[in-house]
Formats: sequence, structure tokens, C-alpha cells
Amino acid sequence: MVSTEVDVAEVYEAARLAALHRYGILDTAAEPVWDNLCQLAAQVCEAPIALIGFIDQSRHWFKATYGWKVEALPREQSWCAQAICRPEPLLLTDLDQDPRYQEHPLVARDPHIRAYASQPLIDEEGFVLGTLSVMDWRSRQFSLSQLRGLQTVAEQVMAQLQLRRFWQVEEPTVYPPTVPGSPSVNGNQEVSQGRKAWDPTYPQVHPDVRRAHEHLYRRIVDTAQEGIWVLDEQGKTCFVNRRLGQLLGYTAPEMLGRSLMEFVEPDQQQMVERLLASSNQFSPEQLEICWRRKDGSRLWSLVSTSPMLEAEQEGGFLGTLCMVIDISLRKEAEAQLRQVNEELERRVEARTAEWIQANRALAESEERFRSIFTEAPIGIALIQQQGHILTANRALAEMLGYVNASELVGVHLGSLAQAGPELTPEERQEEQEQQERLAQGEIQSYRQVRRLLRRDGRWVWTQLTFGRISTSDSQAKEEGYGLVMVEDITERQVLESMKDEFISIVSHELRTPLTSIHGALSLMATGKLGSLLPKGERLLQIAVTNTERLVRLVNDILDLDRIEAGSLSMEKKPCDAGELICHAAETMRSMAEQAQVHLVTQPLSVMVQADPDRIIQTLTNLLSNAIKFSPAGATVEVGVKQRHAHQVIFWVRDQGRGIPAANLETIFHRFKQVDSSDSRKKGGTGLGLAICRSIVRQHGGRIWAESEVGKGSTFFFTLPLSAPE
Amino acid sequence: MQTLTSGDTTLTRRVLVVDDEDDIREVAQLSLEIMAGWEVWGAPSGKEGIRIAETTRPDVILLDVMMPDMDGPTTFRQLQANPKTQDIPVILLTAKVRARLVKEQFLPMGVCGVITKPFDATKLADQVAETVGWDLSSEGIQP
Repeated sequence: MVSTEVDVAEVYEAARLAALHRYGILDTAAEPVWDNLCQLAAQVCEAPIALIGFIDQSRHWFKATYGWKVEALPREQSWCAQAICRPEPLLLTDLDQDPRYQEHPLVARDPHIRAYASQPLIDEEGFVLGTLSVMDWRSRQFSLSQLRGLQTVAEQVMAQLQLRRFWQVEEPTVYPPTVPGSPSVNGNQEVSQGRKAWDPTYPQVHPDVRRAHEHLYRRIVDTAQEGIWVLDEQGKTCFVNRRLGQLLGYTAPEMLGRSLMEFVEPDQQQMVERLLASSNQFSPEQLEICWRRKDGSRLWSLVSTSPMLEAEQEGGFLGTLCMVIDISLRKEAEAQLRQVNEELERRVEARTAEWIQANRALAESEERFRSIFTEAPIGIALIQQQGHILTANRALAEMLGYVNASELVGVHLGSLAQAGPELTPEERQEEQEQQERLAQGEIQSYRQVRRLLRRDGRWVWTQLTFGRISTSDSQAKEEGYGLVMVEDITERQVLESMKDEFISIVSHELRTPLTSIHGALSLMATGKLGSLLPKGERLLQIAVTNTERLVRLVNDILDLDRIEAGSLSMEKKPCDAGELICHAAETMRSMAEQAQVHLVTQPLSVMVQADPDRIIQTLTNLLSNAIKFSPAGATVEVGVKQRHAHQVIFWVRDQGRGIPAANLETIFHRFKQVDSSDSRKKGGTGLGLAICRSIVRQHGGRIWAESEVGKGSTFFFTLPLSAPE
Repeated sequence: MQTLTSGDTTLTRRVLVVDDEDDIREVAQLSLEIMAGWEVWGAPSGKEGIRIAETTRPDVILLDVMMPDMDGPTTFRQLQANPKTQDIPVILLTAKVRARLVKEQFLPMGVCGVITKPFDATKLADQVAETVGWDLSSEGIQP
């Protein structure tokens, strides 16, 4: 804790000393004002000695004394030193009696002081700078009024001290650079002339006023934020203030006498010449000039010049006054701003270029795709979820007999379409499912064959491929539009029907000769016309077998032809599905036995609306297939059950080799057996399932197969229930 | 050629086949002769058929429905109208797909039966016998 107290005292003392030094009073010469005040204090107190003293770190120095010539006393001898710690008047009497001071030099020796009174000199900040003291070599008392008088004088001393600081003179930063000392004794005429205007000593005034003015101007000049630079008429430096020195990094003496030109950047010299020239023409000028500082760095400044003229002799040019303002921050900011602007401009330019480029690329790409769309030889349309056309291409317009593709916008595609044969409810449902699967993204596309109504009322056969559009366009997603490609298959369809017709005619024409051949051969094969050699028998058998196959084929073709053409109408009537199954199973019984296949029926007595002959044909067809493809010992199952309120489902299940998934649909097409060799090996025509499908469709049902390769297949078909009576 | 007996008399069934398709007609003729041992006449048209029927008075006439000039039904009506032939049973030969229609139309009119084409040459005699109502086994024609 002690150390802390010491520290505090030290800090206080350091601050007090700094305050004292700021007044610059120490070691100055005696001045009449101070001497007078000192004398006044002595007289007020009727004392022979008075002292005005200040206490620095080692001594008590006296500015003014009265009655005792003393310059200073060691600090430890001074009673006043006590006043520093205790800022109040001190009164000591009968000093020779006081044991504390009997040995004190001032008491024991000259001037043998016996009585002492002092008033502290306290500045505005509360620091005790020194004392005003009176002393007597007689033992005596001081009256109250004397002490008050002392106090008043002390206040005057302080006032004088404050006044002094106000006018305080600092070390000169200037002055005749070439000639220190009095200008009047200097031989350099120009300089002495040059000094007349600004030398505070000219014109001669009362020294006090002169000094006061001088101090005032000096303070203004030294505290100015602008650099002040005074040049003689040749442009050489006569004066710089502190600020200018700071700005350029030189001390004043380094600059004095040097031309302005020496301080500028080479590229700025013209500017400076202009400055000086205009000053020579007595006209003020303001320019931005870049200086080179002592350390080589650059300083941007705003320089305002004004010519200095002889005050009394109109027109006499003495030199130039330059006010220099540091604008480096502004310049820097401007440069930064310019840089930012340039950068910004560059970026804008770059972005614009990029944008133009991207736009051009986009336009090109769009143009390319648009031309693909418009020029495609296949009809393409974008359709809304509800089926209205959003956009169509030329090919579609032409296909449908429209002059302009835009005429198709808003047209409902479905309203133009008509399926060839009437769609069954099952097929409609399947289509619906496909639409949904497409919308869900489970499939990429699906196809339909449709007749589309042309504008002229004619029909055009088309294959429609519906596709999904994957897009990031949220609107498209929400509205869910799709792509449809429309292919004119009229020609194909015509060819198809020509082919069918051809097959039909050929088959018809084949039938009579085939029947004859078959009849003839089978009669020969009975052996009733005599027996043949074994090889002849074999050849005859081959002829019979193949003729039979040909007959079946021709019959199947004609059958299918007639069913599909609708010329073979279904004789639908209510019949018992269970009975149909039993009937079909009975028909196939012998074939199953031959193949060593167990035939199991699961009949259910339920009334369906059907042509019994045709359904039996369908079932026997399916059973025949099932038996053919079953290994010996396997089971073939045929059954029927009610699927829902309006429908029954028949099934024929085998344990054969199964059908690959890829073929599950195509097996119902003409001549599409899984293995093309089957028609030879198994004696099928390749038309059985096609006929089954035709028959089932004619009943408004659906037929399909499910299968697992190696485990067997199940064929299903549905029929509508007989409407209750 | 086998003979059939009817009562005490040994009789041969006598059949007339009327069909414009020569080969088919001939196969049918041969089929009936070979398989059943019947006596068979053939006629290439309805007109010729009626003429032969009048003269030979067969036990049964197989009459093709589809024929140029005079078709089966017309021929049938003329046979029915002719006192010499009106008692002879007539079996219509027709394509399978039209069988039902033909049956519905002509059975009420007195047609004995309908056999669909193409027929099985080895079974035609059986079909005819069944349609007419002959008991071939009792007749002892089956070998």
C-alpha cells in the first residue's frame, strides 16, 4: 500500500511540474510587474522581505524578491515546499523559539528570520506552483487584514502568470534564413525588404503591443491546420509554419531558402510555374498540386496562393503566400472511387458481354429447338392436363388439314380422337392407368392408335405417343402439361388392312383345295383302298398331318378375320360360367390324358353375358396351350370367380416353362409365339391367343397373362356379369 | 362296293351330292362310297341335281348352300315343290360360320339337317347317317 501512496505523490508531483513548466516562468529575467507585486506584498504586510517563488523539482526559484536578494533556495530548505502538499496559507512566528526551525539556515543564519507568512500560488487546475511569502527578522504577528492583503496580492500574481502564458513566446521556427539576427544590420537588401510586410517588428510600435501581436499571430500561424508557405518574389521559401513542415516531412530550416520547385513531383512543375506566374500577375490562384515529401512519398494538396504586396507602396510585389491543405485523403478516396467505378464499369461491361453472349446462345439454341419442333415431319403438340393443345407444329396441322398450326391451339385432342374398335371399359381403365403412371413418372411414354378427325371431316389414322415433360418450370409441373407425338399411320393402316384382306382372300381361296386334299388324303389313309408300303404309309401320314395343320391355320385366319371385322357377331346370352368351364375341360380331357396332365376345374356357378360357343373356344384354346406346354405329371387348373359387382374373371393356370415378361403382351398378337419353332413342334397356328383376345374384346372383357419363367403361367380374362333379370 | 339290306331286300343307300366345287363334290362322293359303301351320284349344279333326283330318287340329298346360278335354298324349295322329289330328305352343306343361321332358317322349312364344311372325309358318312337317323351299326356297314 505504501508504494501506491508514493506512486500517487509522484504522479501528482509530475503533473504539477508539467503545469509549472507550461507557464515558462522559470529562469526568466526579472520583470517590473512582478517586482512591483512583490514590493506591494511587503508593504501590505509591513514586512521587510517579500518573495515570489516557484517550486520546481529541486529548488525554490524566485521570480521577484524584495528586501532580500536571493535567486533560489534548495527545495528542502523552503518552508514553501510544505505548501505543495497543503495548499493553504502558512503562518510561522517565533521561529527562534520553535525547536523544529532553530537549526533552519534562514533562521540560524542570514537573514535570521523570526516570522514568516505565505500564500500559495494555485493555478486553475489546483496545482500549487509556488508561494508569495513575506518574512520579518523580528518576532511579530500578522494581522488578519495583512494576511488578506497578502492573499489578494497572491491572486494578482497568479493573474499575471496566466496573462504571461497567454502571450507566451515559443521557440522561433523561422526567421531570416540567411541572416540570423537583426534584419537592419543585414546587408541583403531583398531579404530586408521582403521581411517588412510580415515581420512583426515592422512598423515599430510600442514593444508591449508589438509583442502581444507577435504572439497572437505566431499562435495563429502555428496552430493552423493549413500549411503556410511564404515565398519571396523569386519563389524561394522565406517562411513555413509547423503544419507545412509536418505535411512535407521537413524541418523548417531544411526548407528555408529553397525554391518551391524543389518540392514538387516532376510532372507537377508546370502547375507550380503557373502558380508562381499568376502570383506575379497579382492574381490569386487555387490548384491541386502533388508534392514530393522528404521520404519520397507523394502528398496531394490544394494550394491557394495570394500575392503579397507592399502595404504602403501600391503594387510592390513582395512574394507569395501559399496556403496548403492536405487533400491526400480526398485524393485517395477519389482514386478509390475512380477505381471502384472503373471496376464496376468493367464488370458491367463483362456482364453485359456475357449476357449478350448467353442471350445469343439461348436464342440460337431456342431457334434450333423451335425448328426441330416446327419442322419435324412428325406431328408434335404440347397438351394441357385436360387435353387441350397448347402448341402444335406444322406437321400436325397439315395432318389434320389445318392451314396454320396456331389454329390448333386450344383444340381438345380427345374430341378429335376416335378409337378404331370401340374401347372396352377395361381398356379405358388401362389407358387411364397408363396416363396416371406417366404422370407419376413410372413410365416414360405410352401409345395409342386413334383415328383423328380432320378439319375436312375425313379421318386420319394416327399413332399417338404420349410423353412426360420433365421440367424445372414449376408452372408446367403444376399444370402438368405433356407432349404428344402424332404419326400418320393411315398408310400403314391401309397396308395393314390390305395385308389382312390379302390373307383373308388367300385363305379363302386355299380352303377349297385344302379341303379336297385333306379329304382325299384322309380317305387314302383309312386304308380302305388297299394298303401301301410302310414308306408310302409314312409319306401319306406326313401329308395328312401337314394338311390338317394347314387347314387349322386357314380356318383360324378366317375365324380371326371374321371376328375382328365384326362379321362374326357374338351371340351373347346369359350362361353359367361354371358350365362353360366344365364343357371346355371335358373337350380337352382326352388331350390332357394323352399328355399326362392333370386337369383341375374350379367352376363357380355364376351367370355371365356371353356367347357360350366362343367362350368355350377361348377356354379350350387356353387349355390346349396350357396342356401343350406342361410337362407330364403337371397340373393345369381352370377356374372362374367373381371379381367384383359387374365382372367375373376366368383363369387357366399351368406349371409350364413360363413366358418372359417382355413377351406377355405380344403373345396376343398374330403369329407371335414365344418361340417361333413352337408352331411346328406344338402344332399351333400362332393365332389361338389372337382369336382369344378378339373374342374376349368382343365381349367387353380383357385378357392378359401373368407368368414366372420356369414356374408357369396364368392366363386371365374377364367377362361382364349377366345383368340380373 | 358293299350292299345294304333293308328288310328282306338287300339295299344300297343311294346318295346325291350337289356341289359346284368339283373336287369337293368328288371327295364327298368318294368318301361316302369308300367309307360307307353307298351308291353316290354327283351333280355340279342345282338344276342338274334336281334332274338326277327326279330320275334316281336317292335316299338323301347333300346340297351345298353356296352355288352360282341356283343356290342351295332355291334348289331345296324346288325339290320340295316337286312331287317326285319332295319326300327325299335334304341335308344342307354350309360353311361353319353360317351353320347356325342356316339351321335357324331352314330346319323349320323341312331341311333334314345341316353339315358344316369343311367336313371330315372319314366321318362324312357317319354324319349323314346320324342326321338322317340311320343306324349304321345295325345296318352292318361299319367294317
